[in-house]
Amino acid sequence: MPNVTFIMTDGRSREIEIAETLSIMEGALAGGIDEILAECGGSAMCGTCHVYVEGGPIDALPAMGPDEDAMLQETAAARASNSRLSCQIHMAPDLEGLVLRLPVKT
Amino acid sequence: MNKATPSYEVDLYSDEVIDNPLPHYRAIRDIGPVVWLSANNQFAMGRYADVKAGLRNAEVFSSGQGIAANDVSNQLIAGAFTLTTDAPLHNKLRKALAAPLLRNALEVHRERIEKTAEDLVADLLVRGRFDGIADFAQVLPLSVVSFLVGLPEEGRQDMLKWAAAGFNLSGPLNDRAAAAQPMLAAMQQYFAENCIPGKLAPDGWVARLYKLAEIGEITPEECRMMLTDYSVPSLDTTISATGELLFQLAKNPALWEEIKADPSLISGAVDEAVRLGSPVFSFTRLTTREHEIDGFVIPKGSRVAMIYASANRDEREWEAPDTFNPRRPKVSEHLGFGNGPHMCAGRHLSRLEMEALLKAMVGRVNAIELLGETPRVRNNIIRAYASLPVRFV
Repeated sequence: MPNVTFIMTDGRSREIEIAETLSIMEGALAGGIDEILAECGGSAMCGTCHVYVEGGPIDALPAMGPDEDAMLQETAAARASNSRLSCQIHMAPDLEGLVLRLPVKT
Repeated sequence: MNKATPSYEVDLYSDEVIDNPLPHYRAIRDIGPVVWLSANNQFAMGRYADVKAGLRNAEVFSSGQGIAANDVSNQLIAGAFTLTTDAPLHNKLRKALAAPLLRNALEVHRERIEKTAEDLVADLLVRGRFDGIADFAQVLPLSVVSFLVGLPEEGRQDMLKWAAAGFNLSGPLNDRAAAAQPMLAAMQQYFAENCIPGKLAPDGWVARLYKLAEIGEITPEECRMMLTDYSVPSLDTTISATGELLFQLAKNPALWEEIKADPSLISGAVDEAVRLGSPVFSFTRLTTREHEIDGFVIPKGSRVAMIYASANRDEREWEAPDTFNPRRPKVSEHLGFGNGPHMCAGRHLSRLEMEALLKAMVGRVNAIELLGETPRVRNNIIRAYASLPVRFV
C-alpha cells in the first residue's frame, strides 16, 4: 500500500499506509490521524478534512472538482494555493510519498 | 456466524422514557451494538461508534425513505425535504440549501446576532425573574426565522407549535403524533400565503431559493421542499440546546465562574450543551441491504433508530459522560448535530447564536440563579426544558 506523510499540528510527522480502496481522508482516520474531523464523512460538504499539500508527487493528484473548490472557501483555516479536501483524493499507487500538512483548525 | 439480535421491550417514545431516558439508553448500549425494539417495531443503535459509522454509511442507512419511526409519516416525507433524500439528489439540494449557512457566509450576520444577544441580556438583567426558555432561548432562533430565512413576523410564533408538531410526527403513531396531524395543514397554509414575493424579505434565504429556481438551478418543487428545511429545524433544536446550556450554568455556579474568567471556554461550553442536551434524540434510517455489526445482522429494509442522545453519553467514548466539561478533549465530536452527509446544515448558525448569548453574558451577568421547577417538554423527538425560571444578577 502506498505511504502518505502527515505533518501534524505540533510539527511532528507521521507516515501511514493507505489502501487504494480508500480516500486519503478515510485512510488517515483508519490510521489514527484523528486531527482530521471529516464531519460529513466524505461528501465534500463540511470542509473539515482540509489539508495542505506540501510535497511528493503533486502532479499525480486528481484535478479539483467544483464542489471541492466551493467548499474550500469555507474551511476554518485559511485556504492556500496548496489546499485540498482529503476526502476528494482517492489513494493511488502514484501518490506514494505524498506529504500533507494538517491545518491548526479544522 | 450470525448472532440473534437481542430485544429491548420498552417503548422508546413513551412518557416514561422521555421523563427518564438515561437508564434506558444505557441498557440499550449494554445489550449490544444493535437491539430490536419490539414496542416500536424497529432496530436501534445506541453506541457512539456504531451510530457514527451508520450515519456516515448513507448508502446502507438511507434517509430517502424517511427518518421517522412510523410508515405513514415516512411515506409523506420520503423525498419531500433535503433531510429525507439520498445521493445524488441530496448532494444537489444540500449544496443549494447550505450555501448561506456555511461558516464564512454567516460572518456577515455575526454583528447583528451579537447585538441582538447583547440587547436581550441587558434587558433580562433589569427584568429580574424570567423564563429561560420563552424569554431567552427562543429569542434568537425566532428572530433568525424573520431576518435570515425572511418569513414575515406575523404568524412567526405559530412556527414553534408547527415545528413541535413536525417532530411529534417523526416518532411512532402515538397520541402525540395524532394530536400533531392537524397542525401541519395550518403550516402549509401559512407557507402558501406568506412565502410569496412581496411578503418575503428580499435578501432572505427563501427569496434566494426563488432566485435559484428562476435561473433553473433548482426546480420550483425543490424550492418548496427547502422552505421546510430552513424554517422547521432551526427553532426547537437551538432552543433546546440553549435551554440546556442555561440550565447547566444555573445549576453549576462554578462552571459560570470558570467561563467568565476564561471566555475561550465558550465554544466548548456550547458543544457540551449540544452533547448533553442532544435536542434531536433520534432519527431513523432504512437499510438498503443486509448489514452486519459485530456478528449481529440487520436485514435489508429494516428501520433503525440512531439514538444520538445515547451515543453522546456512551461511556465507551466519553470519560465521565454525564459531566459538563467545556475543556473535554474532542468536545466537538459529539453526534448532537448528527454526522455524515445529513449532518445538521445549521450547526454553524446554531453555534453562532449560542456563542453570542454567552459572550453577551460574560461581561454583564455575575451569577445565574435557578428559581423553581424545570419541567421537561414531552415531544416524540425533541428533548428539552419546557421552562426555566431564572434570574440574572
